[in-house]
Amino acid sequence: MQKVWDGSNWVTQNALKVWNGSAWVTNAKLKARTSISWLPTAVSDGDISQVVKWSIEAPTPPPPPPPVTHIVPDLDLKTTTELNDILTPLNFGYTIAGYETTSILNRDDKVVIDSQIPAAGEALAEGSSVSVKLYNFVQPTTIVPNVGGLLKSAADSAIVAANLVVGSPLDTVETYDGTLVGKVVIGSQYPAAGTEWDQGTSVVYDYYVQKPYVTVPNLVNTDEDNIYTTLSPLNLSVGTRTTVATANAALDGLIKSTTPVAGTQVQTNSSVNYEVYTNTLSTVPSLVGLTQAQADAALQNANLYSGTVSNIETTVVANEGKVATQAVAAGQTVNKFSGINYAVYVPNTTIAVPQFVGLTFQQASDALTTAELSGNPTLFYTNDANLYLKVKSQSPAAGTIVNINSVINIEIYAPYPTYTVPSIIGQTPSSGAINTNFTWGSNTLASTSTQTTSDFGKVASQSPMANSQAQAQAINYGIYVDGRPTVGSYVGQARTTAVTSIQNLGLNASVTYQNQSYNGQATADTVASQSPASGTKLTSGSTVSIVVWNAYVPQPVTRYATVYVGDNAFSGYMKNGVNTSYTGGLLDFSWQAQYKLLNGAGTRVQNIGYQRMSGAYVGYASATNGKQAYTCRINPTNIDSYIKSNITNNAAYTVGTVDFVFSVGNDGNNGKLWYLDWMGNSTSSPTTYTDGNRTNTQAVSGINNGDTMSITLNSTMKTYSWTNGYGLGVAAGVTASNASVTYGSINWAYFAAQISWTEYV
Amino acid sequence: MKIYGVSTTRGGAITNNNYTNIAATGQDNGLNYHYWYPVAIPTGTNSLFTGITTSQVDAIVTPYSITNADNTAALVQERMILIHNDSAQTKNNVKVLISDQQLTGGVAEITPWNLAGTEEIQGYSSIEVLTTMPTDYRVDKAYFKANFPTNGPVETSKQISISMAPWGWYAAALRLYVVKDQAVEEDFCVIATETS
Repeated sequence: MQKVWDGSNWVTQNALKVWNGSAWVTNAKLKARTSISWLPTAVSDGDISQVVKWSIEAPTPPPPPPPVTHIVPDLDLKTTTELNDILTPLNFGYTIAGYETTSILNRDDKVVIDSQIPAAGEALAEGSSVSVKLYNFVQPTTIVPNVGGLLKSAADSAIVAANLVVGSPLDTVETYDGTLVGKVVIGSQYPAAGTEWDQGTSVVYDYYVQKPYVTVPNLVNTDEDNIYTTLSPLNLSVGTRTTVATANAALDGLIKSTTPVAGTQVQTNSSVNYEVYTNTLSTVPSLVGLTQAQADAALQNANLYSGTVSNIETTVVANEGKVATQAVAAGQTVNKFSGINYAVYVPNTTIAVPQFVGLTFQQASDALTTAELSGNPTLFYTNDANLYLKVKSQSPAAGTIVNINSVINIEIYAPYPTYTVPSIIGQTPSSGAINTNFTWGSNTLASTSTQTTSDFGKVASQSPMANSQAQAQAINYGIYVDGRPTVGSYVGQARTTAVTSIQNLGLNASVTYQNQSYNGQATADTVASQSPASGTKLTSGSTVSIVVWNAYVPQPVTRYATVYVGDNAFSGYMKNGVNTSYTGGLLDFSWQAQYKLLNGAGTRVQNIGYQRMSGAYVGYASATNGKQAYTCRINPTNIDSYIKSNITNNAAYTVGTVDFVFSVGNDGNNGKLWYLDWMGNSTSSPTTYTDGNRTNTQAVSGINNGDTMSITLNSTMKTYSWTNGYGLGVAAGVTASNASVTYGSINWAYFAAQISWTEYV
Repeated sequence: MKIYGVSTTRGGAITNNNYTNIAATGQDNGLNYHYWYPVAIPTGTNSLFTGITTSQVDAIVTPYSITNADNTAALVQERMILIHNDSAQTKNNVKVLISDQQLTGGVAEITPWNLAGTEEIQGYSSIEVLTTMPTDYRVDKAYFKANFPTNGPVETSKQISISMAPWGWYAAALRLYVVKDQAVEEDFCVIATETS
């Protein structure tokens, strides 16, 4: 069973059909030629065959051949019939994707412009369809706009914009309202706003136009009776009538004015208000200075009559009985037959109180007399001298009408009274009254120092001063405060500075001295302590005690040291237990030598400096060598120089015991007897040294081999060998026999001198 | 005569894989080797050869052509088969051949292991016929030691003519080539022996 590619899919081909010469048959066995044979081949019955089956998927099929395409023609505004005619030859179809409404009748059922997909000019495979839209004609309508209230031009534009037509004719409505002129009357349009109508329908409306005005005629000074006949023909009406009273009889009944005034443009049927004169007034005559009878006659002549006649008191006799004032001034107009009030002078019984305030007392007294009044003066105290004896106030007030001879109360400015100021000095401050006129003030004055302790806190000063004259008031004061000097801190200060400071306080200084217990404790002549302590208050003249350090006095101290002088292994200096080795210098032997005393004449057999001597034999060794001697010498000048250089300030020192120390070699027998000799004063070893040169000054006995002998030099040996620097010899005695025990040797030797000196610390 | 496939174990499943892809059973004298045991060739589809996928087909650049002497480029699968004389008589003229096949989609060819002194089953330098019981080389006793590697030339032959001793064995390769023309759900070949 094979699969066959039909161009788009693999389809099962169950069997091939084969023409067998007379018919197409299926499942026919075919033979195929291989490189070996035709298949299938016959297999004998004695053989076997084995079927092997497998499946094979198809290879990826080849891509289908590209379709035949044509350029899509422009189908705009084509009918469906035309579409078939155009597209069928191209093996295209078409589909209608939808409809679009059109108001153009001749586009109905035609292809919408630019609606085709694919667009014109694009390639399209055969068998494909072009999608198009078709027009659907629908009669267009529009919504009638609302033109009410619009200017006519705007209304027309709105109607045209809505695809409508402005109707004709249009009615007008007259109006005086300038804001409406030229605008469409609201609610007048037809069809009504918001309704839907076919486009092109006429819309009519009413609009406002200007209504004409009327000119007001001139009616002034015309008879009021003619006003209606004048205004009516002009479509004006008579408005409000207002009368204007006049004392001029000639004007009675004439029009005084109109509102609006003549020449004014007014709306039709407007009212014209007017004023008309009426003669209802009289002119008041002058009555002042006339007698009452004269006044009454004058009023009568003027169509007036006398009103209430009142009296006015006067102190002028000539005026009595005459008109003093009239209620309506002469020349004023009043209604005819009005009563005119006036006043007539009569003798006075009252007086208007004059103005006294600000006058001097004398001026006020004069004014009182003139006004037939009496005064009741009282005093008012002030510190302003400019006001003294002037009137401060009055009662009753100026202008008050009082009976003549009334009493007028007058306040007169006067200076305050003064009193003798009491003394509050020495009193304890208090409050409240001091006496009738003075009270305790406050502590505002400067305080006063005092050393009187009982005055502390009491009044020391006052203001105002005691016994002075002053107005009653509070007395301020100052008090006594502690004015005693305060002791300062003087410890550590120089004595003179401290004493000056104390004296400057008005105090006395008492100075004592104190020794220092060790050097550096304090600076000499400075204050060690004080009494009383800093801050104490003392009365002037009191004493402040200070203790002052004495200068420190150095104390003598005895120092000890041991000076070693020998060969280069021993030289040194021991002080305070510390030994300082000193090699090859001032503390070395200046020389060492060995002599054979009996060989020849004391021959020197070794001569060296400070180095260790070998084979330094002493005593009788043999007939060949005879007696032998060891010698050495120190240089006292060098030693003295060295010691002083190691003592503070090169102080003098004392040499105590001087030991000569030597090590006995293992030669000869024990129990040796040697002598220490002092030799001549020579800075170098002598070439000869004989028994004759020897002194046998200090015997050293009991010398055993291996001993270290420390021999304290006697005074002679010390003087010669240490002090004078003579050579020191060690040898058997001068008279020692050869048989005596003297033979031996010295390994090394040195001097050990005890020195002491005094230092001050 | 009998025809068998091979398994790596006695009575096991047939080796449904290119024998060159099977891990070596062991190494002897410096040569790797496989042990093969004869098993019956199952008759189901894709039981000896596996199904050939589209990607395998597409990968073939030069499809099998009967006029092409060297179709190695179209070779997709290679299996061992064993021919066995299951009789006590000598068979002097035995042919082993593809007696029929569809020749559509896949083409099977049979190749002797050894022809004219040339190792034809690619990869094996020698094949030893062994038995679990000496002198008895019947199918339930016999097994094979196939030594490799050797990259000898592949000289295909579409027919094997051999002489087989009693109970003798002969190793051959069954190769499947693809012609790359269409899908075949059930392609087949028939392996047959022909004696005279």
